Amino acid sequence: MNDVLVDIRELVKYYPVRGGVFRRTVANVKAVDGVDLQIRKGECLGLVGESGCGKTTMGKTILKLHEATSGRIYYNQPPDKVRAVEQLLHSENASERHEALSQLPDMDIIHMRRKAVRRLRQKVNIVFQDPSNSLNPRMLVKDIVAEPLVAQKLIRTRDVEAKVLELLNVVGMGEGHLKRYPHEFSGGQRQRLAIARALATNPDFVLMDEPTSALDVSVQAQILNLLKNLQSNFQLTYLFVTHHLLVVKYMANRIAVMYLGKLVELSDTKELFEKPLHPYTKALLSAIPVPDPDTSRERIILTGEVPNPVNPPTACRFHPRCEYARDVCREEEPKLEEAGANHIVACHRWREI
Amino acid sequence: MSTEVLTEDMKTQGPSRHPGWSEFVFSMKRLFKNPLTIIGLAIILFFVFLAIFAPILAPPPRAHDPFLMPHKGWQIQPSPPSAENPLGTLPSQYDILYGVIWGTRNAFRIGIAVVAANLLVGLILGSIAGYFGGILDEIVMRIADIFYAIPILVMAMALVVAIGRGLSSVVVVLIILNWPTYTRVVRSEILVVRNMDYILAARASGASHLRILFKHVLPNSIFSAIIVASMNVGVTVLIAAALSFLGLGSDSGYADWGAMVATCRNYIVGPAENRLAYWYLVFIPGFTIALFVLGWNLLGDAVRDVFDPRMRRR
Amino acid sequence: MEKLIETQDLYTDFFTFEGVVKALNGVSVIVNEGETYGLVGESGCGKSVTVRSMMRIVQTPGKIVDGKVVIFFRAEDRSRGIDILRRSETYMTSLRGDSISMIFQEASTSLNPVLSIGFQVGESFNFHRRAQMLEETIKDLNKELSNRVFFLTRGWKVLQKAVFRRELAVLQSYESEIDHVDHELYEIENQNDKESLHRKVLLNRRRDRLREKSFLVEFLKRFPFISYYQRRQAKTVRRHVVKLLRSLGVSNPDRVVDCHPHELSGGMQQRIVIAIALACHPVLLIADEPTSNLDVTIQAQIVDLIKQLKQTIISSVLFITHDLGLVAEICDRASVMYAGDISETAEVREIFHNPLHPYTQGLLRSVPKVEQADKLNTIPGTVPALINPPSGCRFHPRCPSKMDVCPQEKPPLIEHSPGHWVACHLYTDGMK
Repeated sequence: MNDVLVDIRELVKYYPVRGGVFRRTVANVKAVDGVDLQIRKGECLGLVGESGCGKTTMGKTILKLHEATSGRIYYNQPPDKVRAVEQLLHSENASERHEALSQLPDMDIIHMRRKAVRRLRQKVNIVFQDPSNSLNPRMLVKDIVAEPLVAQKLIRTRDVEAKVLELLNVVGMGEGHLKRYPHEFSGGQRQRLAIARALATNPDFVLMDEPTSALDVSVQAQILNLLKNLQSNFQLTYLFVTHHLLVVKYMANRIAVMYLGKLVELSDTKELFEKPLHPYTKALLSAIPVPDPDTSRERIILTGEVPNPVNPPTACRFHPRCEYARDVCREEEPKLEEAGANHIVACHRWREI
Repeated sequence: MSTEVLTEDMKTQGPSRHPGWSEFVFSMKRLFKNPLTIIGLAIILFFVFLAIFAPILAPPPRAHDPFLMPHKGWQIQPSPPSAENPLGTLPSQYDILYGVIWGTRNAFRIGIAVVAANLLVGLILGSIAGYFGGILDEIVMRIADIFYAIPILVMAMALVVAIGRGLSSVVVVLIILNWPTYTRVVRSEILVVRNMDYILAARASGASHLRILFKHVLPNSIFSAIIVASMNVGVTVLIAAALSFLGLGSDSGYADWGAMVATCRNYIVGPAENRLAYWYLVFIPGFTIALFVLGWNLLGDAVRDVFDPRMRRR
Repeated sequence: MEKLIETQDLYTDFFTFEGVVKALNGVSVIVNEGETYGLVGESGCGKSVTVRSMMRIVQTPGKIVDGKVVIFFRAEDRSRGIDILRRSETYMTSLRGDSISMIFQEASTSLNPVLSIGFQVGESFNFHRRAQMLEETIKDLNKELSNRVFFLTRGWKVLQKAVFRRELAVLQSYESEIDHVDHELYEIENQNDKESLHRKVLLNRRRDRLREKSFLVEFLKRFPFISYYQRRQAKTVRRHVVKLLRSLGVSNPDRVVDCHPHELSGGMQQRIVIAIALACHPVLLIADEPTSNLDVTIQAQIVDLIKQLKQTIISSVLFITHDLGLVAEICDRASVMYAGDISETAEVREIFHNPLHPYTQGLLRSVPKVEQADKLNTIPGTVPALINPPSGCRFHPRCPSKMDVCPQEKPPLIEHSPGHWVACHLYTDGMK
């Protein structure tokens, strides 16, 4: 039974839309609207969805780069403790709830205090999408990669060079690259530097925010292989956020599909591709261009645009674009149900489709 | 600077020089391809020479304050250029050549003091406003707006009443006049840089706000301010001269270009038979000011060409 | 299959501060009528530069230094074609948007944010089909005038009609003159003696100078209140625009026509861009990575749309992409480019099932597929900078099958099997 490293409960992140003369909050962009997700130790969990679905926001909230509106994210806590606190939180008794709240700062990323956050940052890190933006153009490679260590005063200045060299070797780069600026490198090499930086403090959890979307195809293959190697060598846990389904199929053990701020399906990779249950997942899978001219596929072309997260559709968020929508879909919001081993889906009609 | 992509076999060989130095050399080489840059630099160097060697070129008559111009005689009417006064004299026989040479020092002082102070204020306030945002941003920006609205002359006169005449009050007026511009420039750059991924990466690595500000945000956002500063030195001297001409600067007899023209107010246009009789009074100090400003503007252009993010190969 | 447009040994260089970037190294591409042609390659390989050279919109400091771009649009040109690199700029302006159209990657930057959609789509109509629009407007005005009209309105309409008729007359005389000039240019196209060259220069110059505008009409167009007569024309154009948008699957075209680009979503913006490109029914549509920034489902919609349009409006599509999946889906034939060279050209099926060039093989192996059993294969090394490209075959530093001849000589593009061209020394002597 794998331990759960990151346990996300009822995560909500709204961005206020300000309008009017006094800049009052007129509406909310509901980027993430109540998501429950567990990331297990040592796995690579893929998080897929299109623009506006909230996957990037959720990832950054785990890293505490965004402040969540509400919810809990338990980091590396024993499951029974988590269960106990959650029960207390949802109890009718106000004092029990209060007690649960007092326990949260030690367990929950969202409610953590500053010192604990600093320690957390040694354990989690992130690799960004665009390598030309994620490295400070005015800093040398040496300083960039050593940043996590130097910022938290974990290393002495004279040890920096040796440590950075070690990290560079791990990602396939060398001594000659130490004293150079990022713009002298190609996209793939810059991404390697970003990965080296992310590994500087020996983290347990790394968020991969579309790490290969800005790279060429052949370079993408190099980086993906590198990430796989690193995961097995250093026992890392990845949250792999992407919109490219074939990439996530190659990398991830389990895949979670998000749509408009909600989780719609979660299952093992193989199972998701063989038996997708949610209509959105089906449409997504059928929309992937397959590099094989002989496949004849039933293409499900979705009508309409992705709706605005400020005013998501009521009840099931997918119902305006879903060809299987019925009255129940327009009235009641579907809950996540178990649909097989390790397979959950949020759809009223998954059995019939 | 090579644009070749580093290959794996260059792993073991570092650059021969620190890359910052090679970047600098490259920028300099590019700068000097432009003839205007060279002209601008030549002008500024000429003035620097004048400023440094002032004691030799124009020995001061009074050792305690070299800025008091010598005058041999008390005749009010100015004399044209002659062997004794190569550039002529101002009313009351102050030697123009002396004034021009020693005035260079004052010009540099004013220009650099004002711009440096403005840069400092702009960086501090702009960082606060841009990086921390929210209500601090609002406060700083509204204060800046208030200062923008005050007319310069009113401000100058009020300050002169408070502090008194002289170059220092001119400097203070100019600092107060211009600090909102620098603040705005720095703030807008910071607003852009703040959302870059490398700032987020630094936060994710546990860097404190102060560290991010000094190591990541500021080095990437000062360039616009530097460009504005370099273009502004000339204009500052110009406005200082104008203020002096209006009587807010130093007293007569002080070696400051604007003050020199101020004393000639009554002699700008000559008598009816010869309107241009006193051409040297306006022309010579005026030409000096113009040349100085031109030099700084050309240099500022060159600085901008080197530092402009659009033209940098990043 | 009839040839539609062809480039022959195109060389394009960029004269930058750091040196000469040899972006295109003798690129030969043939697009046939009625087919979808894919241009595949990674970033920096020169696919965008190729199509920009074809349309002669290469950005400075780039210049086309050698080669030909020959079009075979009209039946009369079938045998010889017209080398558009040697034609005047006004000739190209009349081609662009009318016979060849291009759509770009970022729809939001292709549209002017301060102009309404109707205006931007209508620009094509107004420029290329002005005579037709004018005739329609005049016809409408005639119909209106034949009914009973209030006398002031009548006067205004008569004025409008008069101005439009004048404009139309000038336009028609210009068009017939241009036809003469073009015809003569075509006749003496291949004659290269001194007299013909001189005549060509004169003709090109004359073409550039011909005015299609009458001074009076231009003056009235700018005169403060009288210029409102233009609105009548705008109504006609708007009708056409609405029809076009409806045929592209835009719901509520009447409302969309008055919107501004920022009010629309990404997929809708791309549709508008396609509408602008297709307004005058071009023969060739060049699409430069039109779906790279879109979500997968929207991308599917756009791809579907392009497929539909190929049945109806467009004849051929030149589709640039780095996504091999898209190539497999839409294209009939494709070329793989690497660092300014064409490595391989073949029918899409052949490229996927029988790739000959080592780069194509490496590329196919490094793309994740649905049935991915083992690790992805990678191509070692990186794409070279084109200021000092590798000698001979530009792929040799990374090629697993490199031979001694590869750094010395650039391999020619030869036809290995019917319809399958490859530029690799492995195949130049008929070896396998």
